[in-house]
Amino acid sequence: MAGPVLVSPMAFWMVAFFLVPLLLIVLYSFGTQHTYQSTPSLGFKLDAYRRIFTESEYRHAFVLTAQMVVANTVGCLLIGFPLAYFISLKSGKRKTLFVLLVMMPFWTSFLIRTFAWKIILDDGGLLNNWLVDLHMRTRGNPIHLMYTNKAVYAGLIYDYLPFMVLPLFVSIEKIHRSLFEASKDLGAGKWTTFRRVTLPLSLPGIFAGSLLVAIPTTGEFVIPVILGGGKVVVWGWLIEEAFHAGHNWVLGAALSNVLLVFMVIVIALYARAMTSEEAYA
Amino acid sequence: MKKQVSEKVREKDLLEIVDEVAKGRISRRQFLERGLAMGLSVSAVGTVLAACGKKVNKNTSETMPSMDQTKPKSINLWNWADYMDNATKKNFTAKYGIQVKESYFDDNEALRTKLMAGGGAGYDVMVPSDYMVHILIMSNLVEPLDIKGYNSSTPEGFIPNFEGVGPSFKNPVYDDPKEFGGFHHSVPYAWGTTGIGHRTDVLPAQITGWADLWNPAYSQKIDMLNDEREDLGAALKKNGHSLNTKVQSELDTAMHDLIKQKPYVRTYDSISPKSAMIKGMALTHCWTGDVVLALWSGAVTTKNLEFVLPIEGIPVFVDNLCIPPNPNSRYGAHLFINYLLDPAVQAPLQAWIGYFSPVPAAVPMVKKLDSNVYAFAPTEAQLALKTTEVYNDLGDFAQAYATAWVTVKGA
Repeated sequence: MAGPVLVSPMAFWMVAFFLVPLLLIVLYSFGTQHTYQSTPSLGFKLDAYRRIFTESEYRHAFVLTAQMVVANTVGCLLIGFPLAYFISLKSGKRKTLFVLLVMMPFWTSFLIRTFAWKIILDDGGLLNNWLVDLHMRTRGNPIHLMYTNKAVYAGLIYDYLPFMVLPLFVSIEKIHRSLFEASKDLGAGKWTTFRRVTLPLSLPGIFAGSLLVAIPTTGEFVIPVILGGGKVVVWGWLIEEAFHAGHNWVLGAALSNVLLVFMVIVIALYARAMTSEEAYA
Repeated sequence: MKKQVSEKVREKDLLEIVDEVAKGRISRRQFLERGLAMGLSVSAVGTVLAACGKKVNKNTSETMPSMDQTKPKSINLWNWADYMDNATKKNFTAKYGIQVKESYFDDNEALRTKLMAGGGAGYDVMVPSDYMVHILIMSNLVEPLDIKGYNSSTPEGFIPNFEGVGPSFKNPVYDDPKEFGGFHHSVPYAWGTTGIGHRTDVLPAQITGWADLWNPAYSQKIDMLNDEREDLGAALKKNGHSLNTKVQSELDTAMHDLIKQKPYVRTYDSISPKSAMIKGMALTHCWTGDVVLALWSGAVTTKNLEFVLPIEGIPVFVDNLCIPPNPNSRYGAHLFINYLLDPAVQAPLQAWIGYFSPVPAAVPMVKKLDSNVYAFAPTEAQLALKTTEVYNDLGDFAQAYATAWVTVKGA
């Protein structure tokens, strides 16, 4: 008897703040936008979807966003795995210290951290100054990094790295040391141990970390605007633009739904692949 | 020694960015970035949830609400961040015994969305820009002001200082009493122009107008604002068209021109045109306020930074004082609006925020208080030109602009 009562606040929360808004977004995407009203009038019009699936801007944006998501996730994994592994090898206070260092950037506003990259990557910025000091570059001939894709990826990987490192760390740390020793005793080299023991056992961390990085990256538009110079269009920007300056909630809702459906499919496939991998391991 | 200096500079850079981001002391007309900078970006779900499908259409039979002349204890001002100094508010309290409580909005679109969702209740005075005033009137989200000559409830009205407003600001296109049955819904608060910040020491060339931003010789020496109306406006003006055009072919040409210009542009940025100019960007598409902020920083002077008012046409923006529906005190709001139009109040206010005063009598006083604010102001003759235009509401055609802008950015 107490069960439903205890669960009701949570259920109310989910319905009011998750299901209803989600339903509204779906309904709006089939509606009609009026200039002097914010919410669209409801109906069953497919115009917004037709536009998304036929106009080339949206195709470009989709491809670009997909590239950004994959590159960011892989980049975070490549940097995050060795880092998580390294931290898990430390003991006691050291370990705590390193985990703390990974989390520390969260103490500062995301936006300020992103802006800070401007100071590093600018033509007259820290990086170019170092290169000059190291006599690798002359002043007046800087490498242009700001407002390029390189700057966008630097910012993305930097901002999302902790989301990869923390779940990876948790799962690598759980691997019992004796397993490494056993592997060694049984004649496996370092590489074989990594491939056959460490990697399969850290799959849950890779799975969780990849999702934590990939999902928010699909909606990312701030970093491409600030570090990329606002020259490319990603999906998240299209949504923001439609709801905000564009005053077209129908289009914004349709864009959100397309992304949502696509993400659900991709995540389902990914989860399936990962669970069969784990079963194999 | 040199190293130390550059460290200092960098530290200052960082502090400046933190300052810009945290305190919002950045030029006030931004769409995307401003909201982000204030940490209040619109989340789609939140906005959707906030809006409760209220039907709004222009009420054709507007009436002047009656004026209950009891003084309120306080009034609520809904303003852009860093757009009023404390002294102005304190002096009002000292004079009328009414406290001014200030809260902020990110940009015009955020203001509109919140008002449409019914979130404007409790505010007495708000500060929308030109084109947004028209949208708010059309959406019934603003009350008429009680001004003499505009269906006022008493012969005198309640904003006598409106007399002192410059003639070009009295009946603007976005709030023309002829369109709205003789009612007036806004009074100007501050204004400025868009133009090109030109570092004359970095690029010793004659820069005269928008066409210069399409000169391949200046490739990568150009920063553009990240703003749909401003960028399309610049291209429209370059081609001799109105920045409020509703002719699709003119808009298409402007769109193609912006795509052609894209390789020459280093970045589209509305947050830090000031820093760009200070750091030596040759040509920066920006607002008057950005140039004033750059001059105030002391890092540049009028000797190496000029603000070009383009010969093809100068875009003008005006921020206005309006009363949202159902204010706490219509009377308090009118007292405050009237007070803000007093030349003696306008002068120190504009000298602090760095924009131009719509009250001519205040201008010489602003100039006396600060030499930088009016350093690059347009002359009366320039203002009177037919090509000098205020941004206005585009109605349904706004969607065409939004589409063009997305196409430019995606190209």
